[in-house]
Amino acid sequence: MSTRLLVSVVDDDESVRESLPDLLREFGYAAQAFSSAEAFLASEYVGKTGCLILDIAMPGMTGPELQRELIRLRYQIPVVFITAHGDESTRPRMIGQGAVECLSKPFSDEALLRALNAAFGAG
Amino acid sequence: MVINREHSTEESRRLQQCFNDLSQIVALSTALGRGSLSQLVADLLEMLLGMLHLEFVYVRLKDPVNAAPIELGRTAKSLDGFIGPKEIGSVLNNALGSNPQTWPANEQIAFCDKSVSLVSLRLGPQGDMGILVAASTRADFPEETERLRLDVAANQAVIALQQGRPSSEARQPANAVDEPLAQPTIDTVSREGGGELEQLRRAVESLRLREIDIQSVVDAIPAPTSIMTAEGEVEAVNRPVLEYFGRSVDELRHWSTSDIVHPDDLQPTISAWRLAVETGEPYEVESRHRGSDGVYRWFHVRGFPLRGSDGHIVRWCVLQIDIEDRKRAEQALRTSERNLYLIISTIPGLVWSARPDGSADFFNQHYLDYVGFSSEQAQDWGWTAAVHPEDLDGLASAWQAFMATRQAGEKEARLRRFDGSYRWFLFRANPLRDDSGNVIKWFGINTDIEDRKRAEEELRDTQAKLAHMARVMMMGELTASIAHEVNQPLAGIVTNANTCLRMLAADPPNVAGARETVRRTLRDGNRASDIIGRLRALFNRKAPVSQPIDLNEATREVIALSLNKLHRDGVSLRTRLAEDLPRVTGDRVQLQQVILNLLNNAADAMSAIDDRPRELMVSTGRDEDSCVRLSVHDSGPGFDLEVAERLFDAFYTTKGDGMGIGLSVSRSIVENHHGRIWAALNDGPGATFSFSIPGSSEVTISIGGPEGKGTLAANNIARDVG
Repeated sequence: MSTRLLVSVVDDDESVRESLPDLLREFGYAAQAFSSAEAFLASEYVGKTGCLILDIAMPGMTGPELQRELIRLRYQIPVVFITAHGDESTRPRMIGQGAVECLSKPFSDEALLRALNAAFGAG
Repeated sequence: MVINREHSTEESRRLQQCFNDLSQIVALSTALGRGSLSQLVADLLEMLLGMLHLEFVYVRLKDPVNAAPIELGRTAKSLDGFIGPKEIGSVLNNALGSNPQTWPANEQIAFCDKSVSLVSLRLGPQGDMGILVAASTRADFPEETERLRLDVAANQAVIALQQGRPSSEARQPANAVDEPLAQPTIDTVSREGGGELEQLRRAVESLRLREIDIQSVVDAIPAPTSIMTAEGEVEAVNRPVLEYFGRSVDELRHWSTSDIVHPDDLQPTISAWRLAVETGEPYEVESRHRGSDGVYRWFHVRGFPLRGSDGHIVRWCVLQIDIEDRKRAEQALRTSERNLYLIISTIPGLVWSARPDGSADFFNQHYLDYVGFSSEQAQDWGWTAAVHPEDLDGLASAWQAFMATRQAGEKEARLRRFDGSYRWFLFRANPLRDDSGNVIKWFGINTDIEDRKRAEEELRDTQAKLAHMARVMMMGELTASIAHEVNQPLAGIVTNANTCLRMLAADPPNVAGARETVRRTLRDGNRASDIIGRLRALFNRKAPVSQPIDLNEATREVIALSLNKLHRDGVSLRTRLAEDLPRVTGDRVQLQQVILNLLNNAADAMSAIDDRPRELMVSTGRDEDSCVRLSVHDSGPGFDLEVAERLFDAFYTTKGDGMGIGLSVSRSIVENHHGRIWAALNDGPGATFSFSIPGSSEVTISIGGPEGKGTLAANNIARDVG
């Protein structure tokens, strides 16, 4: 392919913002990282993003709130939630609200890959 | 009324002794003839001192020649130092006033660190010739026979005085003796020697020599005295008898069939008298006798036998002492004593009294019951056995100090209960002083302060716990925090490692990239281990308890703890705590931890402020939705809006040595109490941190961890920021 699919990562945690994009590039995707939902919305990448990897709990606008905002703005970007919190009820709830997947940190690369395939496969 | 005669032998001896003493007193004054007046009085005083075991005896006489009074006195040998008549006189002046005419007949004063009972007898028919004062350490001084001896001595002194003043117009008392009397062959009876028989022998001998003196002795006694035959018939009576009854001797002989003795008392009196005559034992009764005015008065009647050398009774001597006033006083005293006793017994404290030297002489029943001692065991210094050994020295020093300053004082010490357990008491002592300021007695009360002490200890305990709690988090919240915080770097590590493998598996291997991922892995690993390390410094919280809490009270306690620090930091504190603040339900120590955290943060925030006063205000109040709110308002630098979001996050800190846990834990605690916590910038400088909690009604505290709503921004930052 000449253009890679863009995956945008929105997470307030620095470790994640550093490490995830490199892995995504190894998977063959293009990657951008943002420290907050507001930063993402304010950027030029909203329309270009093929898949969003979103932290759930963030100061300011949360992950689910960003998801709703994007729907309101008529974007149909598949969302994969990642979270450091989480109990058994989180994943079903997120999926029930339309997310492609919800992964708990730390997650394996296979799990991430499966989620991305599902996101792009469905798209 | 007949009085029991348990100590009849002793009584017999006492009465014999009294009679003997009276004889001697009379003999002394008349036999010495024209010896010097002061010698006579001095001998009289010496005699009285020994007979009655007095502390001192003292006479002040008006000298008819010059104006200065004559003072004579004797003190007991047991007193230290020289105390002469002038010294005694000045003690009396200080205690009773300088005019002996106004001295009370009975008084208690302090003399040489002892409490003494005084009797003052005015001398002379008009009582203006002078005064005789006798003092004893016994509280019940004088009893009747002692009073009798003093009266007689006083009378004899007056007689001697009047005989020594041929130019005075003093009349001789009607009972003065005219016939010459035989010389006494007995010297001053020593009390130690002889024993009862010997004393009897001596008394009898002296009697034998003075058979004809009986009348004169009897006449000298100022109380109604009758002499009866051995068969019990009235033989002779003295003037006071005649004067009181207003009857002739003949009429008096028929006392058992007349109305002289009150009808209710007559039969017991007759029985007692008959028994005495039959058995030869002394007797005493209290009975009412009718005076010449027709009114009955109470008398204490005492009869004792006078025996001849062969042991047979030759006469009976019957004394009648008017006790009407005493009876009335006794009645009143009994009533008031009963009242006083009830009062003292009811006072819910351990009541005691002590002598001027500090030894205890009275304990109320509460006291004795508490320590489980009898009155005898506790007396003097026995009570100190119940004081805790560690507190005894301090208590003793304090007691000495009170006695030295003669001021009231108090001291805390532990006292052992009858069951062996110790309780804290506040010992309080109050002096009772005479007019000169000398202490006559100490009165004290010991109050149980065990509960207060316990409360103080618990407060100290809570203080320690709070200081401790400042470093402790709820385990549930800690676990969630750990999980959350550690998962971040862990995720980084896993992701970076995966990336590394892929980079190395590429063709050609992306070594530079792999190296970068490894570097990041190391950094994340260190970060994770840092977090664990800091958290390991904390240890288990206590299980939270749920109780109704007055937030104002909790706040005041925390403020009390922080005052020192605030003062050191140059922070001035104001409070505005709402009245009628509703209670909240929750864990008191946890909420106090939140308040403490906010206070410390505020103080720390102002630590760099120099150009304006460092002011802290803590306020409480009720919010509209019946929540209870507490706010801490500081005059520090406030906070940046950008970091506003992170204020309550775990591990967010602006302090170099901060853990960054305080606000995050505070948030968890508040949210577990179904409340919210927030921060706002002030209109002026500084920030206000507040939390509000629902008032108690049906609120229950969730003891689990938060359900992920802890990081919702809505709870952290107030809408009124900016």
